[in-house]
Amino acid sequence: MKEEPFAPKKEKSQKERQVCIFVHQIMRYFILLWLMILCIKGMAQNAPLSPRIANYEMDVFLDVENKQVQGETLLDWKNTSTDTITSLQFHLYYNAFKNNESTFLKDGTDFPDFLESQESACERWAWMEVQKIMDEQGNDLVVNMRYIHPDDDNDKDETVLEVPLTTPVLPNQSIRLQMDWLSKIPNIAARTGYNKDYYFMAQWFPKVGVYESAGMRYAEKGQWNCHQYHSSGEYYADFGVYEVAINVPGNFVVGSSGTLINQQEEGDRKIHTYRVEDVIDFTWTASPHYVVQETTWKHVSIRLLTYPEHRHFASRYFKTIKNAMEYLEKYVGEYPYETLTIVDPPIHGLFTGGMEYPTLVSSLSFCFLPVGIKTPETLTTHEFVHQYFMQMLATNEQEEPWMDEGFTTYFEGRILDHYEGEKTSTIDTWGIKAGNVEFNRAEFLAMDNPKIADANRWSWEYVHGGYGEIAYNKTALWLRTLEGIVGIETMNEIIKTYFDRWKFKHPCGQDFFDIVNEIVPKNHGDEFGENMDWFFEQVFYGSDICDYSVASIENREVNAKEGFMGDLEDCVWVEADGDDNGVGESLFKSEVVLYRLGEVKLPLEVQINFEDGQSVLEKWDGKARSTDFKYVGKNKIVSVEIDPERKIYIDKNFLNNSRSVEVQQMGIRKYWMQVMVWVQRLMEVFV
Amino acid sequence: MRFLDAYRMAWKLLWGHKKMWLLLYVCNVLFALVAVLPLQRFLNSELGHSLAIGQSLGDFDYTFLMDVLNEYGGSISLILNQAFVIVGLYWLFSVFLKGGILEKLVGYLKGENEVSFWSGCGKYFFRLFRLAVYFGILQGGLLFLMWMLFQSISGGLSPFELESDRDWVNTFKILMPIYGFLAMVLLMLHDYAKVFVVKLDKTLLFRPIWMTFKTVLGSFVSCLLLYLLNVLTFLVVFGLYYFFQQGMVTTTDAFILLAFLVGQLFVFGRLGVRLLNLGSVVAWQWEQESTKLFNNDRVI
Ligand SMILES: [Zn+2]
Repeated sequence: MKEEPFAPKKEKSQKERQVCIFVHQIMRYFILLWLMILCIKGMAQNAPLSPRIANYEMDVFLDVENKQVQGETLLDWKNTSTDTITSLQFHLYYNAFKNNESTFLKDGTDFPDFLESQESACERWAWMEVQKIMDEQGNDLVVNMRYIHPDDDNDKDETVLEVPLTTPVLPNQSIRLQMDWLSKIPNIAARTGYNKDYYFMAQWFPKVGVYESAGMRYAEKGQWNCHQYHSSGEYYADFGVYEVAINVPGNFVVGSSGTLINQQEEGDRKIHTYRVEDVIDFTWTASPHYVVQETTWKHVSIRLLTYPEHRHFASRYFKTIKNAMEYLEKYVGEYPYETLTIVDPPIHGLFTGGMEYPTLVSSLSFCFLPVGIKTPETLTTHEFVHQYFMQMLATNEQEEPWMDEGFTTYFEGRILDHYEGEKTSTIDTWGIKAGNVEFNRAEFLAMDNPKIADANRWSWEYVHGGYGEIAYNKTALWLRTLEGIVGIETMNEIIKTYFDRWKFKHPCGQDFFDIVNEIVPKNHGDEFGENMDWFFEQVFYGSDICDYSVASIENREVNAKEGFMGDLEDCVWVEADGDDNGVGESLFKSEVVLYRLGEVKLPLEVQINFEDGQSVLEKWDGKARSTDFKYVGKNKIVSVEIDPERKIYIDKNFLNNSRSVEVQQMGIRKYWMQVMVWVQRLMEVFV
Repeated sequence: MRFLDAYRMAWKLLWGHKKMWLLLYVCNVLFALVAVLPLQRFLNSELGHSLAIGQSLGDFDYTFLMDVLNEYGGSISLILNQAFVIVGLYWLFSVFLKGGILEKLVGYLKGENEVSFWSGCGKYFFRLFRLAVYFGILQGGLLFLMWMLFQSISGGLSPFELESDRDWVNTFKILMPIYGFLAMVLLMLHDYAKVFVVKLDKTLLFRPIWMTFKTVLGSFVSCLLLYLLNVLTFLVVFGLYYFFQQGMVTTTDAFILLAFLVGQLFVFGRLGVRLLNLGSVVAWQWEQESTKLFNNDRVI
C-alpha cells in the first residue's frame, strides 16, 4: 500500500501504539543480533589461523647485473614457549653453495658439478651475508653472531647462524630485529636461483628456525630446531605473516606467495608488494618473459605464470588445480588462502620445477609433451597437496620427510586416479597406460633393495639411498594399505581428524599414529587389536617386505559313502560327512595352501573359487608362515586369490597372489602371440 | 610414364612369384617362432597358473608388467637378448635370400626360367652383405650429420643453455623432413645397387655402386616417383593393419586369434611390398634398357 503524501496524521490508538512499540523492540533486537553476527564474523575473519611466531616485513632489491638480492628485514619473533630465549637461530640456505666443503655439497652424491667449473665460478656460486642485525634498543647483534653446526662438526658449513641476544625474550614476549643482508643468487641449484633472466627465489632470505619447547614434537627440553642445509631433505619453519616489497626491473613480471597489495613504479624499476598470512615461508619468481593467465576457484584467485611457448598448458593446469582443490576440500579441509600461483618454469629453469611453497607451486612442462604424459598434472597436484601436508600441517620435513612427502604422494594418487582414471592417470599414450598409484608402487618395488631403510629416519640418514622411494612411495603404499585394512570411511575420518587437530601447528609422526589408534578402535572395536601399533611397527619402523602367495591347490576325489572305523570295539562304519542323497556320488576333498613369504604380517582376505561358480571369502590373520583351507564338497576348487580387492597394496608381488588349477592358456597365448607379431615386424624393419 | 609401367610390371612379378613370397613369409614365421618360443615356455611355467595373466588381458596392464619385470627381470632380459640375436640372424638370412630373389626376378624378365633360387642366394650373399654394410655406414653417417646439425641449430642439448624448448621442436620440424628424404634416397639407392650387383655380376662393388648413382641420379624424378609409389603401397598396407588392429580388445580367445591373424596378414603384406619394391626396381631397369634399345628419348 502506498501512503498519501499530504493526508493529515491521525492520532494512534493505544493498541496501535503498543503494537508499534513491540515492532520497534523486535526490530531493535534484530538489528542488535545482526550487528553481533557481523562482529563475530569479522572477528573470525581477522582471527589468525596460526600462532604467527615469525613475521617478516621485507624490502628486497633484485640486482640482475650482479645476480644478487639486497634485503632489509624487519623480523617480529614471538616467544610462545615458557622459556627465556637468549639467542635466535637462522637458516642461511644459500651458504650451502658458498664452498664445496659445506655439508650440503659434501653429502650430496648426485648434485650437479657446476661448482667445479672454474670459468664461471663467480656466476654460479652463492652465499648469504648478514650485514646488520639490530634490536629495538639499538644493540648491534652482528658482533656476537656465529655459524653453528648442530648436525655435524663441519666448521666449513655456514648454513646456520646463531645470534645471541643482548636482551633475552621472555615467555609470551616478542622481539623485533632489523636485519640487512645480501644474497648472491646461485645458478639454479636445489630448486632455487637464476638462469639467463629467469629468477626463482626460494630459501633466499635469512629465515629463523623453530624453537621447540619441552613436549613439543619430540623435544624433551626447550631447544632450537634449526638444522644445517642437507642435500637430501627440505625445510621446517614457523608460521607468520609476510609482507614483502620486491624491487625488480620494470619489465619483469613477478609471481609470488600471497596477494599483491601494491605496485609502484620507481624510475625504470617496479616495486611489487605481496602479503600473506599464516604461512611458513615465502617464495617469489621474476622474469621479463612470463605470460600470466588467471582463473578462480571459489574464493581462490589462481594465477599461472608460464613462458609463451607453454601458455597452451593453461587448460591442463587449471583443470588439474581445480580438481585437486575440490578433492582436498572434501576429504581434508578448506584451503583458506586467497591466492594460488602456479609457476611453469622455462626449459633453462627446469630444476626449479616440481616444488612446493606456501600458496605458490612450481610444475613442469615441455612444449612437445603429449596430452597422455601427465607430468604437469602429476606435479601440480602433488605440489598443491603440499599446501596441506607441509604448509598447513607444518611438519618437520628434515626430520620426518615421510610426513609431507608420503601423505602428499598418497593424496596425489587418490586425486589423480579419481579424476584421470586408475589405469591412465600418469601415462596414457601410444597404448601405454599407467595409473598414479600403481606407478608409485612400482617405483618403490623396482628398487634394488626395498629393504634398504625404515621410514623412521631423518632425510639425510638415507645414506645409501632410498630417501625418495621410502619417504614418498613406500609411505603412500602403506597409507593405501591402511586404507584397505580399515576401510576408506575410517581412513577419511583419520585424515580429517588429523588435519582439524593439527592444522597450523607442527605435528609429528606419533601425533598421526595416536589419531589412527583413536579412530580405528572407535570404528572397528577390537577387530584389529587394541591399537594399530602392530601395523606401524612393521611398515614404518620396520623395513621388511610383504609378500603372500598361493602355494598349491589340491582336489582329491573321495567316495561319499567311504566310511571310517568309528568305534574300535564294535567295528561299525560311520558315514562320512556329505550329502545323504549323494549315495555313491563323488566328492572332492580340496585343500589350498598359502605361504607368507615376506616378514610383514597383515590380515588378509582369501577368495576360493569353485567350479560351479560359487566363491568363499576366507579371512587369514596372515601371521603364520603358511596356512591352509580345506573343503569337502561336490565341486572342485578352480582357483584361489589372496586379497582379491588389493587392499594389501603393499604386497610386493601380485603375480603369486593367485593360482588356478588350469593353466591360463588364453593369457599365455595373448602375450606370446602379440610378442611374436612385434618380433616379426621388428625383423622386417631393418631388412 | 616409365615408373608407372615399372610399378605395374612389379605387380605381375609379385604375382608370378607367389611361392617365393610364401617362402619369405614362412622363413619370417619360423625365425619369429624360434625367438618367441622361450617366452611361451616361460609364461607357461612361471605365470601359467597365476590369475594375474588372465586378468591382464585387454588393456595395457602396468602393474602386471612391472611385477613380471621385478620378479623375473633376469629371465625376461635373457629372453629378449635371445630374441635380438635371432632378429640379427634373420637380417643376415634375409640378405642371403635377397640374392636368390633378385636372381629370380632378373631371370624372369630375361625369360630365363631355369634360374636356381638357392644358388643365387649363395652366389650373391657376401656381395649383398658388403653392400648392406656400406649403405648402413652411409645411413649412420647421415644420422650423425643430422644429429650434429640438430645440436648446432637448436642451441645444444643442454636444457640449461637453451632459451626455449621450442628451439628443439622447431629444429626437429625442419630437419626431420630433410633427414627423412635423404634417408629415403639412400634406401632407394640401396635397392638399385642390389639389382646392379646381380645384373652386373661383379665381385667388386665399385661398378654396381657407380652404375646405381649414375642411373638413379640420371633419372632421379622417375626413380623417386616409383619409390614413393612403393612407400604409398606400404602405407596402404599399414593403414589397413592399423585400422583392423585398432579397437581389438583381446579379452576373448577369438579376438586374440583374430589379432594374431591380422598381424600375420600385415607381415605377409609387408613382405609382399618388399618384393614389389625390388620387383619395381628390376622392372624399371628392364624398362629403361628396353626403351634405350628402341628409343633414345628420355622419358619419365
Ligand atoms: Zn613433494
